[in-house]
Amino acid sequence: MPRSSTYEVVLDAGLFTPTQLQATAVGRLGFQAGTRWMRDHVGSHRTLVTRHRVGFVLWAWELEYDNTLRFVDADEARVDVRARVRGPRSSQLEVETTISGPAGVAARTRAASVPLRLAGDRALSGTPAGLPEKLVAAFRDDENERSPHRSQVPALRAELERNGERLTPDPTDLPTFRVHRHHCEVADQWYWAESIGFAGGAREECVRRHGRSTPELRRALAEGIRRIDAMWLRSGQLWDLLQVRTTAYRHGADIAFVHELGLAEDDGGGPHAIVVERT
Amino acid sequence: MIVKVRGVLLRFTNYENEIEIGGRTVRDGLVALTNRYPHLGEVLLDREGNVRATHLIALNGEQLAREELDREATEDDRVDMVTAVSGG
Repeated sequence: MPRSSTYEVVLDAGLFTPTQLQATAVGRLGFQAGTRWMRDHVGSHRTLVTRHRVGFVLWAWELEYDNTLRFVDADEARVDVRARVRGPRSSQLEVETTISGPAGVAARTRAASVPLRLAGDRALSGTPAGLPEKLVAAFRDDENERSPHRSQVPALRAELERNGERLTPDPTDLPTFRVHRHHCEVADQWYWAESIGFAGGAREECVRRHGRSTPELRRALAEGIRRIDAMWLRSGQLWDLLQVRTTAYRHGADIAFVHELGLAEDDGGGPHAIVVERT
Repeated sequence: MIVKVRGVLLRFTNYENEIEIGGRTVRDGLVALTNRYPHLGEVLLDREGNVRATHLIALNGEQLAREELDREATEDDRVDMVTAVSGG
């Protein structure tokens, strides 16, 4: 049976919206959980970077909210986390986390990272590479899956464009966000969970602008988002000015927001991330 | 040429993100730049003095391969320097 790490986190008001855990907080708790699992069973993040010259960059993430967990419901939550290597060349690390309160699992996440072979410079620059064999050996057989993790974002976006009913016009005057240091991780590259925050901010801006003409958009604030799928294509960096292109759809009973995050001054390199939020 | 430095590399240029530098070619400019900012040189260049594969250099928006760094650059040309990805 794959190994897990289980522990308790104390809940504070800063982790919550009025109705649920903040998505960025879930992201941080999930990343912390994956880091803990690696420390418990393979090696600490610090030693992976400094001794093995292995870093990780997140490229896909899924969040699903399940049972209610509000600030008033509990003093602490239980975190359970498991991880495994995926891909025929051990080219992915997948981490699954649940955060549970009194009513059961409140949020579950699945994150897929790509290992990097670090060049050894102080910028921690690196290139994608399979996980080194001696680290793969630290995973049990049932923690090594040869099939790769696949992001659902491309298919989900195509489905919304094909069968969703568009609720917002072609966006103009796109909201912008500058990446400041408090959005970054140690290498002055955006901390991925903050990009989920930029997407959430763009959703709020979309609701603020179009909520009068399309009141059902407000559901996405009143009731909260139930599911997020994200995929990263490039890294945002310190002082980058980003813009977010948001399109809202009605799809069955759901309202869905597709956010495309990219540089405000297009450099021809394509978007940095696609985030799909659903009610 | 004007070198634009982004994100991860900013702390190695004391947070100057748009730097005027002399030189006939992009390579000349990079040499002058790393002389001015030695810590940037430690990050940008490998032991042989070549630009590490983990950093991207572009001239007026066109990404240059290592062997293309001898392209001429005038004082109005823009050189972008980007770290593709870091592993923090």
